Amino acid sequence: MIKATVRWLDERVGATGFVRESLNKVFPDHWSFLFGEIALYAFVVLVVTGIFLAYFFQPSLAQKVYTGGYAPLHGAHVSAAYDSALNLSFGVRAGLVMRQTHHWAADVFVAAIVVHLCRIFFTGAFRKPREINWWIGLTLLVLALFNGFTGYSMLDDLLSGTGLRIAYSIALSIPFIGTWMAFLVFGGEFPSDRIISRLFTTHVFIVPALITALIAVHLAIVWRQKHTQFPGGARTDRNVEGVKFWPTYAAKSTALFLGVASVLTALGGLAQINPIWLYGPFRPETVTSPAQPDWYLGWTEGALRIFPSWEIRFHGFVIANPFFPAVLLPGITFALLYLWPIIDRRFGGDREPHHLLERPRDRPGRTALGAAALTFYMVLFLAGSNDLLARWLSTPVTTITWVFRVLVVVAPVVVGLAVHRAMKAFQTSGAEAFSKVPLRSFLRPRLSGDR
Amino acid sequence: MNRRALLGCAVLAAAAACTYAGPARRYEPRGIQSVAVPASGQDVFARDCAWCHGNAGQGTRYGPSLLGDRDGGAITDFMLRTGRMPLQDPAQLARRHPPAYTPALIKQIVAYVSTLGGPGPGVPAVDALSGDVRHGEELYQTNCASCHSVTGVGGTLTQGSPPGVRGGVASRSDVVIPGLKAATSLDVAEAMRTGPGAMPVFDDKTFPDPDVDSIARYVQYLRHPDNRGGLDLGGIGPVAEGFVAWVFGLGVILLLARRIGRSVRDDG
Amino acid sequence: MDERRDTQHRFSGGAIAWAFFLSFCGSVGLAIVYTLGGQVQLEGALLFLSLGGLAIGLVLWSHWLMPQGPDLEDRALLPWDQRDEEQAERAFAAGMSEIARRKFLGRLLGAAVAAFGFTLLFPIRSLGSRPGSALYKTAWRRGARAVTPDGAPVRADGLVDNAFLTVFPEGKTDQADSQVVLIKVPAGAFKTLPGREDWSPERIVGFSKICTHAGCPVGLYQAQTADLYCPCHQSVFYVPDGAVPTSGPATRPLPQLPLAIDAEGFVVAQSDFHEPVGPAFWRLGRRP
Repeated sequence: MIKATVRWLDERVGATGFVRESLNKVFPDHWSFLFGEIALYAFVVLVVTGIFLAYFFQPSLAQKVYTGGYAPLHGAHVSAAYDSALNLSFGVRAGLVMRQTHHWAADVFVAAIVVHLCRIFFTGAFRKPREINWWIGLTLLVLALFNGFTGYSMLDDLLSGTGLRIAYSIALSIPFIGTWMAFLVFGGEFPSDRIISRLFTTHVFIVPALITALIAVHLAIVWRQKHTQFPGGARTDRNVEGVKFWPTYAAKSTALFLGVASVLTALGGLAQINPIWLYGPFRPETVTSPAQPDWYLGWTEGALRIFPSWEIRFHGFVIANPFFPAVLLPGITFALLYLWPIIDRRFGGDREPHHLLERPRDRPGRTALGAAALTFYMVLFLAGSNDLLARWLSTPVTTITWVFRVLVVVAPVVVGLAVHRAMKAFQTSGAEAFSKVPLRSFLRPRLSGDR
Repeated sequence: MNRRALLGCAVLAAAAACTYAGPARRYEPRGIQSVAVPASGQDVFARDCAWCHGNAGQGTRYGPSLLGDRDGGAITDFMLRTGRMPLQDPAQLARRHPPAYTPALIKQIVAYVSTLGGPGPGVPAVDALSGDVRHGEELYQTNCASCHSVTGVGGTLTQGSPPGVRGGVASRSDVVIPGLKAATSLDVAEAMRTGPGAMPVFDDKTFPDPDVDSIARYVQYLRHPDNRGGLDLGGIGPVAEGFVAWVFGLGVILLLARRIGRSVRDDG
Repeated sequence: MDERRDTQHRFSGGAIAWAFFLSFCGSVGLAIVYTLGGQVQLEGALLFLSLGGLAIGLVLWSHWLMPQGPDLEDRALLPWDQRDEEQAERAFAAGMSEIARRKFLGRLLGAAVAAFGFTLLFPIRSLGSRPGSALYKTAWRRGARAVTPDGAPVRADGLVDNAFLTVFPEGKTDQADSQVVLIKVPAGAFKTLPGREDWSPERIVGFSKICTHAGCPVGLYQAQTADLYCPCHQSVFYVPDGAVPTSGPATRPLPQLPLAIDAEGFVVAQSDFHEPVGPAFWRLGRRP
């Protein structure tokens, strides 16, 4: 029967050659190569659950009276958007597990992309011929961040409404075009009556379409170029070592997909996330504390909190304070990330194509810089919860903020230098694993080798 | 023992040291011990309160006066029933504890303190059941949630009371805004009417009694809120959610990936 | 060396079978739970079982019963075939020359396309309104009574020391930019500010609730220290000095609303704010 199907297809699209090649295609299967797939499968879960949610959600700010099953809001004036979200949570069978799975999947999706990006960075997989995929991947990260924010902001609840207000203020802070941009995006002064439906259109149609298209190109390029691999054994720059796609790699990949889906659905049913009924509908004069955005915006949140009260004023013009931590910092971050393949080439790279990965110890400078950068952003993430830290440590929040202001400058330098020293020692000692590097190599790395 | 294990032990030891709070302390009254078993509110006051608040409630260098605008039966009852008072030591923080006195004795102490002359409100009458939970939700979000959190877990002040509010003796500022998980309706009403600590005052002209009933009703709901979505992760929102997503979401998935994929060690 | 053998565990078939069987049970359980009305935790746990069982089963199957390799494959060199590239270049150039020959027409085509492309951007303007003077004004007017979000007007004698209330102009409780906090400052902390001597009748002050940093409602009032505190990024505003920022990233004080008490004893505004409320923007100091 399979033979008949294959022939049927072949007579119409002539694909047998491609199919045969693909079934036998060898995939390097180091576990760190699975990070991108984790992100992909989280995206699949997002789409499947998202489609379900989209059939119920009403992206409208028209006012209505909530008459559903949640008693503390019964009779409250809420928007149709919030009402439909409450309905999904309380009135639709499987609605809440779908909603929560969707939200957990979004958090894990971005986390997986970040881990994947780190793996690519620290192993030099972005080098020629893979710069295009690096840029596509970065764009996917930006789109994922954007979709995450628009997704939870659509629900018109107290916490996400506060986040939208902050986003509006950040837009306002942009010089020259800020007020125009804010009014164009929101359709007027905050809180306009158009923003929710615009978030919906962007979140459900535009960005997922872009993400899907970019993922397709991303995978097609990986398929064409074949995956990179670590040096060692029989692996060279001219071959690929791993397992065949059929049946082993396909089975493993499917297993990973099912594993990702199972973890996300478990969280979706067992761990409450974004309990919008407790937050209440968005009312512009209300706010809660602690108030943070979803984790992947924690770095800009931390930057906004610890950036000193500086502002630039001249002749009645103002470059407002939020511009620096929330526009300039992310701008510089992503500009450097996009430029990274070019920067990397300038400092110790070459113009040759590479299919063998570098181990982090092989490029101590890059590894140290990456570690320093990660430290910098991690300090910002922690700074985003400075009020919680103040509470848990019974310390005034101003003290905590000052500690972070110092840390954000000092910690990356210290970590960068330490990692550089460690990588040099690792490299020159020739040890197989980091825990086997003799202690003296750390203290006098130069004496152990000539590099 | 290899380096990694050593580091792990050091981290665990440090964490344990930081979290160990010492044995719990039982309240032991200071002050004159001339009355073995207090016979009345006045006796208790003389024994446990006067050293800090003064014989006539006028205040001393250790503690504030009890004759201010908001002082009277309500705040005394609040402080005693929630165990925030009496303190053993002026530097101690006024936090919720099991009360030091029986309800009957508290009534007597309140009655005595009321005679000292503080013009503030007496113990209010509150009936949460007659409150409207929907209106309470609205009032809570506008007036209470910004400090006590939408989930009622409490919050953080910037610096608490400034040193010197209690006089010359160094007093630690308390930056914690208490949660409401243990708050009774009477606690809510008394706190609103008197504004204890850093809390503002929500008087009966701007928040008439039915509003207090409604807020109290909603606070009672928050003590056992609808958490049908699962574990509430502390009710602090996206920070906890992010942690769980990384550790229990991606973390578990990475363990699976480690099992599925090959590692360098598998190369033999 | 990279020798890997297909490992056969003795109980491999059993473990895999159990995994698939548990998954099967999970799916059946899900169907039952759904039919009976659904329950969030059961749905999550059973989904975990259904999907996880399949996942574990497949992992074990692929590890124990499928060929593990390692397999080797040649990596075709990506770089170009020189002849291919030259041919492509020539094909393109040949076609291009037809266009390039007609310089004038080519330029006109370019101009027409550019013009259309530029014009296509114009509908973006339809998305929003001109900022205009919207950011410089709120709904507060002379004589507007302060009302709570429920619409109840506020009596001056109803505010005691350390009272803290969110208010809007009467009839405009839906105007987000007009949210104001009223505070009655105790005598010991109250200060008369130069130029604002009559703005705070009976020590009742009104400030815009919109944080001048990033726009969150400044919802926390610490009565003991007379500080307004914004929960979003921890800006602190000292009320007696006119809500000036003393900590955190805010740079401008919260705009103060000039208040008065009308003949019937209600708190009213004397006028709109004397400066724009909320966070700063480019033309903050250049009101149209």
